Amino acid sequence: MPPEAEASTCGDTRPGPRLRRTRLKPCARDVRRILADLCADWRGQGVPDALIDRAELVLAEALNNVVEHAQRDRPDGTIELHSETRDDGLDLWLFDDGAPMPGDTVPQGDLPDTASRAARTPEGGFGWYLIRSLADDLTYARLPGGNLLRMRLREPGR
Amino acid sequence: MRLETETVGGTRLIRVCEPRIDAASAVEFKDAFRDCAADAPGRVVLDLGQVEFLDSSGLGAVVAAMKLLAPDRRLDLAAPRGKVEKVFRLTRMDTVFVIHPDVATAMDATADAP
Repeated sequence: MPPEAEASTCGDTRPGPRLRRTRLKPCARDVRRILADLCADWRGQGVPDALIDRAELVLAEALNNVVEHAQRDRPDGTIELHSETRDDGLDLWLFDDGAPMPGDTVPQGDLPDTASRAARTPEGGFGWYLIRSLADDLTYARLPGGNLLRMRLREPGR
Repeated sequence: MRLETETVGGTRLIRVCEPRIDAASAVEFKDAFRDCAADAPGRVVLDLGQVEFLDSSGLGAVVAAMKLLAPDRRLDLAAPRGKVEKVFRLTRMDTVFVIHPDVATAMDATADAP
């Protein structure tokens, strides 16, 4: 049984890439806790607020997707998150040992129809749309025993 | 999920006193909103001024709140801050909801405003 959370950081005292590895349980409360930790780390590293805001939302959507789909009904499943702080932005890697994406591919993430009011307004389906809108690069691979999702966020102007 | 309510004339103000409406709290929000809106008049204003983070689950919960009131009552939003406002804009939900910049403007607006 892995520990509840594991984090390691290296290279904090000098410029250049900084890598943080975290393991979390597939539950929404753990996702919230990890996001708070990561955002505090990024702030401490001087990552611009606008980039932190984008990364927080992208990660929330990707992690919650794993919790609600890939690791649904798998309380013992694990999610591993690597965050690399680079000079030009953030690289985020998510590995989970859950079920594959439908069709072994990342959903297209089209915007649900919001043209109609009230009764027909969709309550879901915005997650992948937000990830695709906010991440500069998205790669998915189905590996033996799990899913690997890489998301890159570049700082504008760099 | 702590919500505060206040009723002025035909409008009920429901203030979200939490920093996040996310996947961990979306269901709690829907339940708390249902209780606060049960005997609400024709118009409800949801004050998002204290909310710092909203994900797609939180957005879905706000849409569910609107549907709970429809078709006879309506839900307007007030005071969404930077990150939260951006989620409404990116998903074009700003075309579905009437979003007021602050609570005072929202309370002054009449029910038949666009």
